[in-house]
Amino acid sequence: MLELLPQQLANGLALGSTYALVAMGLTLIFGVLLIPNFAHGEFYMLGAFITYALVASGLNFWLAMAAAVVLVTGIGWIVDRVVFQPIGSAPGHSAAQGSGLSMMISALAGSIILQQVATIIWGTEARTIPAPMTGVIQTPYFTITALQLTVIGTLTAAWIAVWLVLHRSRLGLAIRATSQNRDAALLMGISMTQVRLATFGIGAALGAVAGALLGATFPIYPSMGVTPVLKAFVVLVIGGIGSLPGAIAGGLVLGMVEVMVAGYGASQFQDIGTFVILVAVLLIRPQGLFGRAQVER
Amino acid sequence: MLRIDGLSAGYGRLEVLHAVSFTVERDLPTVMLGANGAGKTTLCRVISGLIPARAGGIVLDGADITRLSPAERVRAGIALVPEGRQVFPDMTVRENLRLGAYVHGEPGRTGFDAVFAMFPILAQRQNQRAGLLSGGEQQMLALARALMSRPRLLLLDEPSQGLAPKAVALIAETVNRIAATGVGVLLVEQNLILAQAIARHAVVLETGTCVADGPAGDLLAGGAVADSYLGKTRRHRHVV
Amino acid sequence: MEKLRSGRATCLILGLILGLGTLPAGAGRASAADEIVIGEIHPITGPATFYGLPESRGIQLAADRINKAGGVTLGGKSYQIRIATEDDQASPTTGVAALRKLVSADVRFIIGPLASGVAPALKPIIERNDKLTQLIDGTIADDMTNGKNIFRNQATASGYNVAVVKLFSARKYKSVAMMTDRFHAGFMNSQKTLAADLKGLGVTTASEDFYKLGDTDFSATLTNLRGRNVDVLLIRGYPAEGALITKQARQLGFSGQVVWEMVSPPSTVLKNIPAAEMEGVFNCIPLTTEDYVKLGDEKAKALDQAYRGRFNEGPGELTALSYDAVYIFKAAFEKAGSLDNAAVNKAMAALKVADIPELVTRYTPQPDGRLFASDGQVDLRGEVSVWRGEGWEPASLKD
Repeated sequence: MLELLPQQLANGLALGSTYALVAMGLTLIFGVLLIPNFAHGEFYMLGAFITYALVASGLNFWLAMAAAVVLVTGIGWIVDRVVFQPIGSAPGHSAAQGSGLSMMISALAGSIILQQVATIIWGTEARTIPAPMTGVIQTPYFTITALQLTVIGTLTAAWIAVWLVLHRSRLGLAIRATSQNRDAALLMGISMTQVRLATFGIGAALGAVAGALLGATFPIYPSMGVTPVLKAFVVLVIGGIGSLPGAIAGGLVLGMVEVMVAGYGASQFQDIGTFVILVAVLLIRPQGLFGRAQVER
Repeated sequence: MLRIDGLSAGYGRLEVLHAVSFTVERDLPTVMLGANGAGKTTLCRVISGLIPARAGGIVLDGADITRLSPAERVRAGIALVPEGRQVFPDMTVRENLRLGAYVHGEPGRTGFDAVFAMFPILAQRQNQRAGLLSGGEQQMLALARALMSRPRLLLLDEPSQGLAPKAVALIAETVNRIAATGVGVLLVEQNLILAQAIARHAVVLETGTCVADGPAGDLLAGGAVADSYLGKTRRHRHVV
Repeated sequence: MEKLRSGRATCLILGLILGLGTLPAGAGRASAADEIVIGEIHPITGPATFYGLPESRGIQLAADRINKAGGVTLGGKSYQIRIATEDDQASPTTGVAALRKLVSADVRFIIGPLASGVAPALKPIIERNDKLTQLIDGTIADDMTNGKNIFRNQATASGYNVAVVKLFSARKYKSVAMMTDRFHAGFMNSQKTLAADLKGLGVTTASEDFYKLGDTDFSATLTNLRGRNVDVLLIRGYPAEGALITKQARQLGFSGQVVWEMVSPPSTVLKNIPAAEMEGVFNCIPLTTEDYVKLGDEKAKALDQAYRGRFNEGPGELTALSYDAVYIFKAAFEKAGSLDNAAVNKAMAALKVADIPELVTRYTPQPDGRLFASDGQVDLRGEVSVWRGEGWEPASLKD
């Protein structure tokens, strides 16, 4: 069994990077706007379906993916405007606090509506986007598909891109300020509309990228986003909520653990491994691997 | 320069401020005194636009700013140093200052230099995370950050909170220097030492209502403040 | 008081709306003297539509055909068959609601359901109601029939396994790894027997792994498979996962034979895996409508043509079963000479395969020639088919 370890590590890396890719957009929206965006799974699903529809109509995969990203970004803004902003500004909710539960319920409603819309348009039958590339890379120790490598590469590129936006632009400064202290950010004259648009836009775009790429690997159907988004929440807790490196590390840890459990334990315990890790992190390091414990000074 | 006119505000069904009126003049740094729960922080939040006014108006140098967004008020010249400092803990001192100047774009070298001249300690620490500064240093940073927006009126909400007397003295000195440059000051405080060191005019707020208004010397020496702190005053006209 | 009254009025209106909503379409005519209503419960929408819709259409086709030919003749009087369609979305709760709807409209004969999850939910209700006769044309889970008022003209998982055993003995495979959908009652319950039967042939079961609908990553299991060097990977479940497992197994370098045990329309398969990667995969299920057509069966060809003419696409894998179910009911009605459930049940149990010449599906008669065994189950055996080009075709097992 040990001679298979390099292959299992490669499997874990490939699986983990899919989790990380989904978790990135979720952690951004959660970290900055404190919105538990269950509808992120639907950004992912729509990214997959729109790419599928465009590829089916003859467009090149990468162009289709770019178009899907643009469309889903727009959908992300609509979702924010229709699903979340009314809750934040409803009487009895100051925008910053006290509306966590309403946000969650609203997010679930948005998620269900988007799923139903997709069902009406595309039906429920599972399908897979024709892969933009085939081929398997063989090394003496492990094999990995070109598509899996692309996912890992995209994850890295997305991380760098988001990092650059956050740390090298004025908008990024405003986004980070909002995530650290929303009231103080308002006092600096930062426009919440701008921050919301940027955050939801980037978050939804990341979801769409994940959907397009993973839809070429896994079957797509309207409720395909439900499980990945739950896994992504687990990733957030493992990695630390609102932390991008946390989302990536958390995703990789989760992927590795699942593969190791399935590879060296039993495949039906794969999901149990997920939640054992979750409980362990909550017990040992409740703020997550990259989260900072909140200390009042 | 700042006129508060019959201002009411609150949260949900609770009304905290009831028709509060007073003025702040540019050359008369003003202190607002009041016990916990009198509505002082609420007043700061209304003036800076974090919560909306329900009635009444806020006028800055003749312009009605009651309906402006927080960002527009910063541009109009209002800067709040909020209660508990509220610096951005995971950012460097320099990034905090950049955010202070956010409405004006990126601050130039001169923008930083002016502030660093007033707060040399921040110049030394400019690349440190703000969360690692001491309480007094964080208060200095909050003050410096507010100045980066080049305000006409500086609102200070309990800047002495949790600070050692030495740090409080430093704040008093700094605020006086800022006031001397022609910036209006409204200080919300419970600390009488700081109030006396800065203010020339005083307003007393009690359960959401202005109960006294006058020269700081008279009010701080007289009984109104003591009464207000001890809470033994006549019943109010406004009952929630 | 005023308020109370208006509240009550609202309740009344609501009740009316809900009450109307629970009546199947056209149920008001259910008592028309010369009509027999057969209820059908299938997933018309939801994740199993690709199985359910072609079944529902097959039933409609058969009913129309029977009606056109004069209907069902009972005691010299002829009756038209009317189908009351209910959508269970392959969900147990929706399925139970659908059944209640039909029962409240006095529908006494039921065809369906398809889903292995729905059938067990309906069973206790139907078993206790002597005014119902059910003919299952879908699920392959064991123990769904009782031979009294619940019958099935679809195979059981054990029936599928007959083909698996046949394939292994013909090809002399030495070892197998099984991957099974752990929520599929039929496959789960029959797995032990299958492993034992294979062991009898000298086949080692190297591993048994379980997954669930919607799983996407099988790399860990498949990596281990490569290490074990097995001859056959046997996948038992539904086609989306079947396609994904096949694809990932190839990518991870599995070079043995892939065998499926699942009803898998080529259109669904091809939505999830390129045709080239399916080439040579075996499937072990009873012959499908399409297989019968490919074998040149005249009845199947006629059904295929009628279906295409009406719905503009080919029939589904299970269309023939549902089509046959209506004819089985017709034969039972006529043999019973009445619409009384007890009489129909008795007649159904006594039907012989030869009594129903219209059947498309080729059932193996019981030793005494009857269609159903005493437990209400037909004998329908799996056959081996192989993927060639764009779809399945009957496989010849001689190399």
